[in-house]
Amino acid sequence: MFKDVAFGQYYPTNSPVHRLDARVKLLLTLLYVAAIFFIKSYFGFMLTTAVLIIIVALARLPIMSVLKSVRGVLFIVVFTAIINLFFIKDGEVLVQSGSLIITKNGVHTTIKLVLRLVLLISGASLLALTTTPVQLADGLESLMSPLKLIKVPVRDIAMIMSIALRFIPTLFEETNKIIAAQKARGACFDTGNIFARIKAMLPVLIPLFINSFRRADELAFAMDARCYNATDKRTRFKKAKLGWGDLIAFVFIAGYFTVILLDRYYFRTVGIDIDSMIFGELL
Amino acid sequence: MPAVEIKNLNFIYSKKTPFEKRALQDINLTVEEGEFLGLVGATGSGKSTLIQHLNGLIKLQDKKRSSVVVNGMSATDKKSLKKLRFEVGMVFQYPEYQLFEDTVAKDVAFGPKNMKLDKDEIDARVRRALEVVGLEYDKFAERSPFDLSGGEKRRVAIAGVIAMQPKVLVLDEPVAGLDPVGREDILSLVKKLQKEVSPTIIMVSHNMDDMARLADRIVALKDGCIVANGTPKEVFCDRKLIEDAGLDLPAATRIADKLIARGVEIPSDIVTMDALSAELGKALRSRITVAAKANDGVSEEDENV
Amino acid sequence: MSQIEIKGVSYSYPVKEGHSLKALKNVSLAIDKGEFVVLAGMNGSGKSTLAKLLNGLFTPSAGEIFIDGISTADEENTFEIRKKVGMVFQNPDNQTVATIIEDDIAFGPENIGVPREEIVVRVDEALEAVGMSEYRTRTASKLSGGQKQRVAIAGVLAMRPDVLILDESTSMLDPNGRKEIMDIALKLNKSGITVINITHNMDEATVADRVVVMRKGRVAMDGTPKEVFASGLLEACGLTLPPVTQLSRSLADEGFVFGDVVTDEDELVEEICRQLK
Repeated sequence: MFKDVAFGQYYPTNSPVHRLDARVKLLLTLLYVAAIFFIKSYFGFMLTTAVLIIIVALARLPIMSVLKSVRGVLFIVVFTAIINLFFIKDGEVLVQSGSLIITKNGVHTTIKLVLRLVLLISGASLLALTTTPVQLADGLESLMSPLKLIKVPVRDIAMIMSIALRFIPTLFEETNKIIAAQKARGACFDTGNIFARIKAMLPVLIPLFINSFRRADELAFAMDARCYNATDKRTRFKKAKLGWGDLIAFVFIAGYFTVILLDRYYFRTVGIDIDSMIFGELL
Repeated sequence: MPAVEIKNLNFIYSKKTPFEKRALQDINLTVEEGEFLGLVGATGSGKSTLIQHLNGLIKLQDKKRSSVVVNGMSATDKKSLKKLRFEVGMVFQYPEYQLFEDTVAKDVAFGPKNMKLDKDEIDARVRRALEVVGLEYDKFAERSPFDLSGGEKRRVAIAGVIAMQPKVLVLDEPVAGLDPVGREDILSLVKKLQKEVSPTIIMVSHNMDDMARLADRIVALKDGCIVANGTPKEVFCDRKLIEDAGLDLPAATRIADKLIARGVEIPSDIVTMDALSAELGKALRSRITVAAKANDGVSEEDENV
Repeated sequence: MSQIEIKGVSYSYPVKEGHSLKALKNVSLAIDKGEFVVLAGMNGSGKSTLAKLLNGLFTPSAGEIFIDGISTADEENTFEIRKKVGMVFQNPDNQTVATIIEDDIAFGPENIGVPREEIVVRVDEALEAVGMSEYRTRTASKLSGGQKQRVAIAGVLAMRPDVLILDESTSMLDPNGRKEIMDIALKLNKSGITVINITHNMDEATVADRVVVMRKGRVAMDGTPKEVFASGLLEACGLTLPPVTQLSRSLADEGFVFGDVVTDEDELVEEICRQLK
């Protein structure tokens, strides 16, 4: 249980992707996520996959580190896929057995849904893998700074985010320790129905919460002792500066986004159907 | 029949990924019933991985070659696994951080409940476990474990493990973070537990003085391999072994070494302060006798003159 | 005037409505610049409460504390005092704010508005002082306990404090980690920083200039390590003699004669050899 959670785990390689400005990466990730929801054709998915692979290669990340984050939510992906596969009933019927009907439409929707989810999660994990939580928090703070005008505590929000990310590995480690300790006293987490299972988790969740509060208390002392909130004129150790790399990255992702939009709204209206050009009769 | 028998145990973390890390390599280890085994080694040497194999918390990776058998029950066998959990009590580091019930009695009852014992038996065991760890039942049973002092919490946590009446008790640094009085209390409790509840003890510790004093046998791990296995005297007196294993010496052995280097005649296999002090006392007394004899000699000569 | 002056300080924790727990009772103490003080006592003796009072995390219920003549009770001085008195806590996992080590060390200087160019210099120096320079861009969660505490010390050093408080900072470490931290503390003390090490490990007390023993919220003893060990009152305060001193005691029972309390291993060896010649 809870093994090797990659989310929130910065993977240092000092690549050009790592060196990009966090604000740019945040915005481009948003653009990428938006693009995924505009994808309509298999060509779009192939293009997105290619873009993703290029980024992973540039970032010098092992492909496993990206796939790991997908594994974390595999259950949700499989679950939604199955729901889709069996509940979409319109279109040409491929398989029918009793009340079980699988349609061609259902298969396509399911494949696209799975691709969408996997690409979405991989893309988002790329941000976490190549950007330190501090950079992320600073980037967010900078992007949200206009909100300071309407008294939103932007800095505190950014700090909370950064600390949450920092503590994810610590808390997972702790969770595993508590699970092991309760198992050693005969606790069983994988039998019974969903309610029995939730109840079985209490011996893990209660100490975890109590310990987290204790940690939070100690951390608050440690932060106070280091003069947190001493001045409004907090300085920055690392100042983000936009560089050529950021411009290139922006052009690259913006170009990709444009192609996805064109594929959805324009190509077909002028008679270009890339999917059938690639796959022909297969679809 | 040995209490624990480990054969050819290997373990690799994150197998077949870039993060692959070997934690245990060809571990062969037998622990006899009634033994107090001290397990030592630096952080990351594989101690945790090893002890978690004993009750199946970590599953065997190579079931064909390796085996872990506790009191005749195999850790590979799914059926005996559940029984094994109760046969091997495991007190992890800082066990008080795993307390969760709203009363002490309920928390201690968690293990026995999972054993599906009947209510009377559970109550009897909770009562006994609390008394053994030195917490008066009537005074503590209905209190919240979270209102207790650090030392009391740790006792409750230990009671929660021994309430299952395990034959083998594994303790991972049971005195970590305690003050001197708390340390001594818990160490004598461990000795008491060996007499009254769990005849076989496996204790992990970084404190070589404690180990020299308490353990019948010491096993040292380094980078996942057993690098020393013997009585405290055998292990600590093999200086090359100690150096290779990267272990600290007990203070008594270290001081004895310095004395021997300075020409003091004491045995070279001293591992406890008590033994060192006794040997030095002997040396002092024999020096006095020698001196006295010498004096006698002188006076005889005087007489002769 | 001493660098730290504690004058008649009491402190109570609110426990529940109407009740409070008196953690400190009328404590007075003066600590001079450059001293290495061990503050010892069993759990619950009030030693950690005293530490938190020294840098304004708590303010006294009664009495006053002055750091370089500035009172900790005045809220306007809070950050001035926290800059002067740095503090490292017990749990290595609960005091780093940032994931990357150098970012974490910069946290303090950033908070007090140190200009960026200077933060860079300070982070370099602090890392160097604790011997962690090569780890600067690593993730804190992957370090050993001792390394994490070294990073925590560096985080404090980057604020250029005059006083370093180690609040049981070695109690969760293995012997190697403990030694690393003690070596750094001694080195920093040599460079002029006042060190207050809160501990119940009496081995750590032997290297101090001065040992203050707390018992039930009061100062029970205050003197050099030898004076404190000789007092015979340590056990009553829930502490034990360091192993070397203990050995000298049992050797005295065997007929050895020690003029003074022995705290140093080599000193003991020397003395035994002399008496066996």
